[in-house]
Amino acid sequence: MKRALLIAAVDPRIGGVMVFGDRGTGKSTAVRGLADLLPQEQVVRDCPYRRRADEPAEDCPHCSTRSGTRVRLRKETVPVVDLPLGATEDRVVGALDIERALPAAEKSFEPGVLARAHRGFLYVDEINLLEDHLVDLLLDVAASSVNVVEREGLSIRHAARFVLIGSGNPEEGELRPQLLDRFGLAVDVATPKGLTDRVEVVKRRDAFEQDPSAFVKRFARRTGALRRSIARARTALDEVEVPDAVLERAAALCLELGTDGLRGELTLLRAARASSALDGASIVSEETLAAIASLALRHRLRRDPLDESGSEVRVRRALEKVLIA
Amino acid sequence: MNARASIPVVAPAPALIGDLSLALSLFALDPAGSGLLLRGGHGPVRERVLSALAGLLSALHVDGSPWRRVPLGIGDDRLLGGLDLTATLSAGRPVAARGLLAEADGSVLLLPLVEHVPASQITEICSVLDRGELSLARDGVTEHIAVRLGVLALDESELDESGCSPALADRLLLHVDLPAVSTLTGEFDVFELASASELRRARERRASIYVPDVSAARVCEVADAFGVLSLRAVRGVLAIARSLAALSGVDAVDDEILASASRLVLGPRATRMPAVESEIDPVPEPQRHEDSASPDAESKSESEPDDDGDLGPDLSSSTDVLLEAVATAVPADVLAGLAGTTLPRLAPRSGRAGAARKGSGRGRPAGTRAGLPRHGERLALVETLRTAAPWQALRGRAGPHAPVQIRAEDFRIVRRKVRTPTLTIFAVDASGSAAVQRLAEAKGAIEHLLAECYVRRDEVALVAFRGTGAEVLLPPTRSLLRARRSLSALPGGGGTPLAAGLVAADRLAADAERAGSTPVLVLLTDGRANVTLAGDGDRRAARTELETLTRRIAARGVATVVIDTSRRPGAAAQTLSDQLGARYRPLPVADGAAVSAEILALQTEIAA
Repeated sequence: MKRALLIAAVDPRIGGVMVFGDRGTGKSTAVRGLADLLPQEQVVRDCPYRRRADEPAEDCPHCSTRSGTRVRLRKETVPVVDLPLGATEDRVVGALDIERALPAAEKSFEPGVLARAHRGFLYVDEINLLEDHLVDLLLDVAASSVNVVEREGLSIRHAARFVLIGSGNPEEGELRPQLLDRFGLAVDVATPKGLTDRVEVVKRRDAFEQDPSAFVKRFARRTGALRRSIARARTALDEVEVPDAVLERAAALCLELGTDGLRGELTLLRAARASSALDGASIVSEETLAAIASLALRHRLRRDPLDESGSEVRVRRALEKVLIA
Repeated sequence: MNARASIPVVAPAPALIGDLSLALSLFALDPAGSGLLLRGGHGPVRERVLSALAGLLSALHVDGSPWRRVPLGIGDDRLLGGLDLTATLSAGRPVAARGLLAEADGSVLLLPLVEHVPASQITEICSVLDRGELSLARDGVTEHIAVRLGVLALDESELDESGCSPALADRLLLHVDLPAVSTLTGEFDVFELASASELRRARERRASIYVPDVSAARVCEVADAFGVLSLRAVRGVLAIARSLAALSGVDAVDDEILASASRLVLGPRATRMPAVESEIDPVPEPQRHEDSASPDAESKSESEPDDDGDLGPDLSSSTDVLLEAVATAVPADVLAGLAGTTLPRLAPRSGRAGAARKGSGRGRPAGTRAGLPRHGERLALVETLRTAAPWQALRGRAGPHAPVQIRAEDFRIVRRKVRTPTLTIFAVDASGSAAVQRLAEAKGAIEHLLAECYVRRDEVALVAFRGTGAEVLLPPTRSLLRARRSLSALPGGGGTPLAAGLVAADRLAADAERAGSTPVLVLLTDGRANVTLAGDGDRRAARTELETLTRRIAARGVATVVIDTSRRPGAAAQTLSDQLGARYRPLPVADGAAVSAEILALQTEIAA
């Protein structure tokens, strides 16, 4: 799970992570912890749409009305925004600003969660319980990277390029396949069964609760190192090479598993490059490919009613076949 | 109550009453850090327990009230909060309305009939428990409010019904089973809680209690032994141990206290007995706790289990104390299962799916209509303003920046299109030699259906009847994963207790209707009933019973399909179908796809 989140942080184009798992496996904690590791960037001060200086001002509802004034910048961390479960549509896409509408009947747009998540991460916990119309909405915006609002007499559009991270317990309900497909990577998390691991988790959690600041300090160095490795990986990403042999393996793997379309392969390769960049490697190796194959492909497998085995097993079987060949 | 602030850690007989008093006192001591799940229906025992607890909590709370009660069917906006429309309109700027969750900050939230609370609200409550804050993004209000809640959940479900949502149950550390206690009505006079002043003193001491490092490892081991997977439970034992030490007036958590805490938290969650080669009695009697709690008796009767090697001899012998302590609190039905062997993992109790009630604020917005917003209906603000606009001059609005004059007739609310989910109940005749084949059909049809269903959020359940009774093999679920797991081993053979199968299916249908779903019943049988509800193999009696039963079920009006699985389509199934007012389809050959097609057709018919 941690690996998948790091990969998504290095290359947002991969398209988000779906974390499946039982309750109490630290899913939400891990995602929220991600925020701490993300780099900072320069955004236009006071712009609620998080416009970056290099993005055109005409496209931003806020900045387009302020052309001519000097643009001031501010350093901000890449956001990880929570989508609360009880959220209503107006809070997600933005809506008429009531504060201005009521006294003066003035029409002004108040941006929603999607604006805040631009170029950041949108975290939806229990995504399989999310309202259908909200799911549709998220899919639309995630696909087009633009949030178009036509409601209550308003007509607004703004950029909303975010990475969707979802978590949920598959026992409580299936995820719609259209939604599942939107996620670049998928992981399965289970409660640790080993005694030492369990004890360590309990101990750490207890330590954190007793003295949060001391806990953070204890791990500060490792957190910093991780943050730096993400930043390094981002810059190194474009230089990572994928040898032809690895490309062939990837294609063969997808053929073997019968994944639909080419998205599987593209995601697989992108993830492999990001993973290599994280490791500091400049060439993608077969080992790296094998290591992240499951992450990129397990949720794209065609449903085979005759095959009772889980997707993890199928990916591994296909890997064995393809790699020894 | 004793004058000294010491609750006996070793409960005097009967142990159950002692544990009950302890659990309640501990909950009152630290409601936000513990949480209490009370299982059991209405009755004198529960009344007694609740009034005692209420008394204690009222004494401890600033405002003198024991808890905030969450009424069943509460709308999201009342629970979570949002915009206070009246205040907003008169003040001319957004005024947030605090929801019940925010109001219960620092107090206790009482959830009666918790098994009927919709999943989304349960998730919200769990989120608040986890993070200590409420994240609101509704109706023009975005805020994060710090909320510390103690949750007291009342579960009134029967043994065979699905109970409190497992997600919430995991977060509530103390589980108390009242029916087990109520059998000891005589000794109930011993039931007494700690006093408010004792609790206040304990609260102050709690933070400085010393918990030895090694405790975590020991509790993990014990949890493992009893098949308790949840790490929250393990952490919970440590938290409860701390509270218990504070209550008992000691400075550190010792073995006895750890044992009691383990017993309270892990006992009710046990799914198996430890498989160690010791001489633990397979079915511990209630009085056994007296021997087990005292360390001396314990070390004599125990032999060292071999597999504790890595944790050292000291650890294992003291872990045995814990094991013993927890063993006495394992629920009777788990014990009655099989001592020393692993029970099949108890079917996770699914919380009832969120009801798509009228006007509960769910579903696709589909236009507006006139009316005042209530029960979770949402104001269509701009429409309302548009309606009021032409009248402003007439109503004497002072000027362009003066408040808008709005009357009740101007209000417009959002109309929603809500689709009630369907629950398809398969009632399968698993009797006789053709059982395996029929069950395979049912399984195929269910998987087909689920593959289609998840798009529309429909659910599936499976009841099998054979031998002398009926069994709910798959409680209502929309999870393909769970369906596969539960269906993988289907038993067959014996007589046909058709009536029992119908009763079970009927009950599921009733539950579904109550929860807001539309049930559809699919009966796979040859119609030849030969076992009565009482379990007698009397064919004629079974038939008469069936007639009365079908009349009752037909009256409920559940859409039904009878799939005749007999080799030669016979009158029995046809008659049954007529009596039920159902669609009839003969299907002598196993064909899962055909069954599911039939069902989908029926569902489309209903929806139309």
